[in-house]
Amino acid sequence: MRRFPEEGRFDVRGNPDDVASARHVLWKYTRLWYRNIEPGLSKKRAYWLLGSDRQAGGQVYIHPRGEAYAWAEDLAIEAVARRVQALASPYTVPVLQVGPGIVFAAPPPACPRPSLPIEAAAACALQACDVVARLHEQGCGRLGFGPSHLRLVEQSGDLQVRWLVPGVADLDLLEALETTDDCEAEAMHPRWGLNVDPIQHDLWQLAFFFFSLLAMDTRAQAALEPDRREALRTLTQIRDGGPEAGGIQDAAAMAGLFTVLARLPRAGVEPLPVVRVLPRLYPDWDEVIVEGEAMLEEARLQRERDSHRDWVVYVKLPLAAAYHQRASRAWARGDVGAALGDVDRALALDDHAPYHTTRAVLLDMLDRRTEARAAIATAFKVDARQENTQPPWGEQDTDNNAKNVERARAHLTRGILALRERSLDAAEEDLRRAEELDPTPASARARAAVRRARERTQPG
Amino acid sequence: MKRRGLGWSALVLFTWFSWVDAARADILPEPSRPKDWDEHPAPTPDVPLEDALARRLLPLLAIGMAGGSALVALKRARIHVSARRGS
Repeated sequence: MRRFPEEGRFDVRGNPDDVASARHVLWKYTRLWYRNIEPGLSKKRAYWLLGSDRQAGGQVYIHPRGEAYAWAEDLAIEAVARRVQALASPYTVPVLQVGPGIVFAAPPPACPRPSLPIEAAAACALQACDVVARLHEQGCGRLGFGPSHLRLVEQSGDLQVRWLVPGVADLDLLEALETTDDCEAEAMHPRWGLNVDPIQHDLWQLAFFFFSLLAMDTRAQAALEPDRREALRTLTQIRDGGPEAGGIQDAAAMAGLFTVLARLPRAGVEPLPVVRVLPRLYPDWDEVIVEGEAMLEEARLQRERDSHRDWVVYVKLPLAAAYHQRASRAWARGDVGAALGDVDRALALDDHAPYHTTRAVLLDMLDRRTEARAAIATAFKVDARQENTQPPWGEQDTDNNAKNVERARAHLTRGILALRERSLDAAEEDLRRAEELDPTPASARARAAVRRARERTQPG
Repeated sequence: MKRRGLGWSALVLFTWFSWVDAARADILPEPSRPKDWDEHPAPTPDVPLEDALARRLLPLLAIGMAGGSALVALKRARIHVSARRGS
């Protein structure tokens, strides 16, 4: 499996396995063994591969893919990198190539934060805010704000932000632990919580970034003009209690605070998008399918196998999900034939109950009722079987909700098939169950249709 | 003596490799489907039209079509009459 661009424009040095293992222990190092972290920023070269650009010359940084079992996560990271590449902000490190892995132009060196006057600190924070707001609009959140990610470079006398996005998970926490006096308090700080909303996380970290640059004593703070003192007070509230404590909900609002502190005219600042709920970011299903099939073919040819567990399953499950997504899209535009082809391939890769339900719906649309009935019966049979995949830790509730929605869809499908055959009792039972599990307008309409069918069949 | 030594070595090696394999199996995460790949809603069946809508819509449609045809016929007849009068 290819984990970075192996041939062509870039000459890559180093072993991606070393990078993968360094990243793998990072979460243990920061979340479990944080008391052993030595103070002072350590070198972070181990988290990227180095290389050179044969065309343009110069060094490049490479974010290689992890092991095959992390394929779906790697696709999600690459989806973010594509957005950063398209954004082409002057404040991000240029992304030169995406897939497999990510190639960045060489960023400026990571240095400890300088101490700056309030105007310069706010100007840097405003640049970071610009990137945050635009990336939030694209569905990219939970960014890395540490010195290895959010780097600074001197440009004609002023400091400018050069942000390495996407970054490495937990590297921020490592750098915060390396630069704090109290590891215990830092590791337990709520902004590092895994359940913090991505937008809240980024706004909170922005406030910390600003204060990490600020060199100002309390007397100087008290001497500020009223509007700047108020903006600084709000930022202090955000740092100490989170964005909600400061009444700030989006990066655009936060940019307003930095504009005041940097003494910039509001009219001169380009308006930023207001994003309070992060949109979902999805990979391109066609690309996932092409790549996943190539990986399966490669595995088949090489007979590359893990000693304990066939790694191919880590490709098959996401690949089947991508086929199901493409089938759902084809169904929505009315291309039932294409949808059926995709869902058949999804089922060949992963015998999953919801895919059987989708197959039943598509066969019903094609008037292949006998096959549709068989497909929905298989959906219930597969669902009843013990699931061999477990939801990740902490996601059991979400998993149960998703299962209920899927079971409701299966009951709705079987109920409507029964209704078409005039088996009104069976239809009624399935549709009632569908409404119990996940009431939808379709299930309500179908139950009304059963009631009318009963009225017609009952004399008088 | 040599045989016993070989036996112990084999046992130690076997235990070591079993342990390494087991540790490796522990590290690998449980295979799971991506939970957030839900861009497109999953297909749902059509509620039978005849039952759900037809009872209300089809009579209205029929009345509408009949009325429309009558109006067109009437208009044509008028044009015909006026054309004859004009001539």
